[in-house]
Amino acid sequence: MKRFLEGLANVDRRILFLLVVVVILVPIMHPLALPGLKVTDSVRGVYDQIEKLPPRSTIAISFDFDPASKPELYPMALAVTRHAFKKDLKVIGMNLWITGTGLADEILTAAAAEHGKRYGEDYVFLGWQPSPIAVITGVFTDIYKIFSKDQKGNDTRALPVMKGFRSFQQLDYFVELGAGSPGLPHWVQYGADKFKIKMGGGCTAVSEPGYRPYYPVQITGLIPAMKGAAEYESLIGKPDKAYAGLDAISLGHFLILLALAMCNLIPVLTRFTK
Amino acid sequence: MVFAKKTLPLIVCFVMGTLVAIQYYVPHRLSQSFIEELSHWEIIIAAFAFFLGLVSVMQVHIGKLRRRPPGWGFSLFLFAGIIIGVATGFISRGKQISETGAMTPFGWMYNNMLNPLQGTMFCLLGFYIVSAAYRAFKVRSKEAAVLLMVAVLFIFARVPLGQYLWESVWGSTLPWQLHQIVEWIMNTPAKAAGRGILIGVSLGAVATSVKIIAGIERQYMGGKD
Repeated sequence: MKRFLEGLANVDRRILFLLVVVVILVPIMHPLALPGLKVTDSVRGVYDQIEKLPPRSTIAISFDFDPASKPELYPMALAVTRHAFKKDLKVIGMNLWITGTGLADEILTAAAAEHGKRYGEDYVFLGWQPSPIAVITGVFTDIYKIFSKDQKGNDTRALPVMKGFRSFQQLDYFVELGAGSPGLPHWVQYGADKFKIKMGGGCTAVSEPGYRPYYPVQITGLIPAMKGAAEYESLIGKPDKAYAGLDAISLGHFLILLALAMCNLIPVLTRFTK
Repeated sequence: MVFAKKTLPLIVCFVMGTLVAIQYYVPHRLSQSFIEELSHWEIIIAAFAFFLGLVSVMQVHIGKLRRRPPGWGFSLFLFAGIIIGVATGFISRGKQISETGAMTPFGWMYNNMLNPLQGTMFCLLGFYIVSAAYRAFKVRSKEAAVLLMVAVLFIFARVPLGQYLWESVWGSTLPWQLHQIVEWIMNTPAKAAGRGILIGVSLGAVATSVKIIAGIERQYMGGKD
């Protein structure tokens, strides 16, 4: 028994890695539909703001993440964009992370195609510019000085979706979906809070405690990681990738619990075993 | 020479720092125009800074290729990455999808190289967390015990299956559900601590900024004097 416990304590890390693979991959390939998802107030805080906007209101979404945080932020970005198009809102997309430009473009194009929205008339993707603080300050004063051309090279001012629009001060709602810095605190400090624009956020799980102080005063809501995205998907009635990933999240976390229990129980059991 | 190297940067820093700080509180049209123009300048300067950064990286890695210290081969990959990335970017005009709807070489690189590489790097964290939890998270002190208890509580409360199991066991015997307890922890003590840290950090940033504007802190000029 003692040898067995000692063997368990010194188990090859590759076996642990294999367990992680199984616990994550199996539920993704064969969803188990585990129960328990509850919509939290912070996620509803973003949903409700978009839901109550009248058609043709203008919303901007800043996709401030890169492929490294795609599993956490891509699903919520897609869900929020889908919601905006479903509500027939005009959408202005942009990003502060250069490596996320392709993802942002992909999300806007996919969501627009689903809802039959046309580029330039219903939405625009402004792309990326260097120096995030200057970009945030600039879009809140005169957007055309920062983005004179959109990502496709069109004259931004000439696009029908931008007609009568000069700066983010005219926005009906702003959503920032970010994986770090530059991200939500910068948008709050240099833009939304200064100009009193209603803003919602989305972030990685690890950033959530850091961004909580801004909720619910500076931001109306916060979508945390894949679980938050799954809640948003359930709110808009379109379960997708985040919902499918919930089982993997549940089982992955329970594997960590099991590892913690083993780490603390094995030495105790070894001591009391002959 | 001393004027150009020391005095002039200090004057520029003092004037611009003071103006930008005042601008934040002045809603006049002139103040708005000033910050608009300044943002435009900043973006142009940042674009040049990228070029400087590229030159600096190349200088470091050319040196490595000459000296050939252990691991010098990685510098070759760096050059290959820069050359191929810039070349495909120019060929594709920075677009991932062409006008015909086909994927450009730049788009192919983004989707089939950058995407999986960055995803892989990030997901390695999951493997190491489990390995560390299994080997290293031993409760040896009261603080570690509290940390472990909070971790277990949060995993149960924040993961759908945990919430379901908790409610299946306890049902409505407790006055509050687990997720309500954890929401309270997040929204009250954790938020209060977070705000305290945020205010402290902000005050520190203000103090440092004042020192830089006043010319007391001069590390940004090269660390001397």
